[in-house]
Amino acid sequence: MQKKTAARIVCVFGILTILVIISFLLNLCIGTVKVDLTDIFRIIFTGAADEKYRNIIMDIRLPRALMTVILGGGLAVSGFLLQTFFANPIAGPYILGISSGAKMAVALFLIFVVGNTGRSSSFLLVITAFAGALVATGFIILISSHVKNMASLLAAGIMIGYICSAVTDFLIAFADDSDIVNLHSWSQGSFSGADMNGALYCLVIVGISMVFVMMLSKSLDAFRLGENYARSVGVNIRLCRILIIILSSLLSACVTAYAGPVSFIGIAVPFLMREALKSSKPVILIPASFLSGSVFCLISDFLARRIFAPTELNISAVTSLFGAPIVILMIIRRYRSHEN
Amino acid sequence: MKIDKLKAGYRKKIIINEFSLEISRGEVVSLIGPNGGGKSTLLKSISGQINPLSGSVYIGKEDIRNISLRKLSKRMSIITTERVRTQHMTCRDVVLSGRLPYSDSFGLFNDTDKKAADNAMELMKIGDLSEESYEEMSDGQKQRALIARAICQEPEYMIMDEPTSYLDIRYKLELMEVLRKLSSEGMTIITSLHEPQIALKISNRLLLVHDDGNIQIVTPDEVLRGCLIKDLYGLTDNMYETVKKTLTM
Repeated sequence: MQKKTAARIVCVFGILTILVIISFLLNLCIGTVKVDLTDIFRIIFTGAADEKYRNIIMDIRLPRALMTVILGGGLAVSGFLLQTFFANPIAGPYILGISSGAKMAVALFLIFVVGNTGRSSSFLLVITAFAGALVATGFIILISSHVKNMASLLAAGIMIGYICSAVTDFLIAFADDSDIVNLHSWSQGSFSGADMNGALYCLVIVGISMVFVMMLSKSLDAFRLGENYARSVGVNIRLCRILIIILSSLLSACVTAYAGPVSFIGIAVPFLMREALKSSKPVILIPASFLSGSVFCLISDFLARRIFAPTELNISAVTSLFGAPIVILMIIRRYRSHEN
Repeated sequence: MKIDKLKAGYRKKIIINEFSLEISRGEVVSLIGPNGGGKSTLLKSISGQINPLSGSVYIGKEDIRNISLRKLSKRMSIITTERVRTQHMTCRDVVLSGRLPYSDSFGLFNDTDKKAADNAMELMKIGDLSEESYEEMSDGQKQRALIARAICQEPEYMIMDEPTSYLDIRYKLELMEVLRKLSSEGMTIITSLHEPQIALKISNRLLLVHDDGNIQIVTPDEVLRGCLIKDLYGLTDNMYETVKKTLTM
């Protein structure tokens, strides 16, 4: 039986790795201009190729694909952390309004700071989004200390999301046109503005966060039986909770700063991985969620670009289309298992 | 373990009045008393889950509040009355989680851990359920898994809050045997129990937790001789006659 579990884990990770590679290359090859696979390798590794193709790959598609891989994974892990924190599989950065909090903060920053001074940096953008995410998370935690019922808490999170989105819309409506070039499409969620610098930033932030998340995996493991039992096996509950919040906020803030709020990946992906692996052990589930978050995001971004090409959809339209039914399935399953 | 002038409760509400007690290694101490009398509160204070209002609990010479959770986790395990909800955890996963204090930093277990978990499952007669999904097990089976979990943590002290709940009569009796065996091997067991007759059989001493927050420390003999159960639960004469028969069985 244990051998079977091990085989399942190897199998799932194998498939995920292959899927990441395939969908990554798919995103590089296919677009308005098709580029051959051999050309892509030549461009990336030797740099020798047609100027036009090289620009398309190195300046547009490669940074975008890299960012999608990194942020998609980060978003899934962020969702996983929140699910552990609230002991509820339907918690996620988007549904709890945390992405929207980050979105509002970034909109404020873009309009008032960048709009007035004309200066911006990736670093400041992420910090602002992080602050927004933390504030939204703070509200959720505040509400959760009064409301023990998870359904009500989720409803409260959705409301916070609406409030933040409404404020963002107001800001966009009243801002000068020059301030909101791209702001509108960004606020819907899109990877279209990715550049190599941004991808590098994301890699560093998400990479460091992931190291910390993996270091937390033992504590997260203990959390599966609830706080009291976690404490009894030596977990410092308060410290652990603070770290979970900081890391999940940082991950979802990073996504929001660069791509806008992206829906449902945080819930659907960890759920699918729990089902695929038939396990909830964090040390396995965290990397699995990361990989499948990447795949999910890569494919969604590909579809967003291609379905109505040359018009681009926002990525949340695609992730919602696939993610929301998965979440509904999950709710029905939970309901059934509670009936019995 | 030494309980020194412990007063327990929440914020300003005193639930357990000041009392002191020294417990020696391998002793079984049971808490009995009416519902809502404060048995759980007392157990939580002893295990450090809640801070006492005043007084302290010492393990060896150290105040329990000064022992790091990591160290404490290798010396003390708990069973609570809360119901655990899990996702995709097998019975074995739940039991193994008691080995987390000994696992590596990613929560991965070695053969010693697995062996300890297997032994504990055998002891609690759930060995053949090990690959079952915890959520799909019966309440009694879940309870036995949680007890196995606390046992494989290999503690010096096991603090149990109503471990017999959900267990049928056979498993209650078997649990008594297991507790006796563990205490003879040197494990100190502090447990609250709903059944005075079981408490009388397995305990070296009993703590009678009264409604008013007073604690009476007695031996099983004293309980039988002094009709203490009658006062403790506020029984009528008729009720006590019925209970008395079960006590001396």
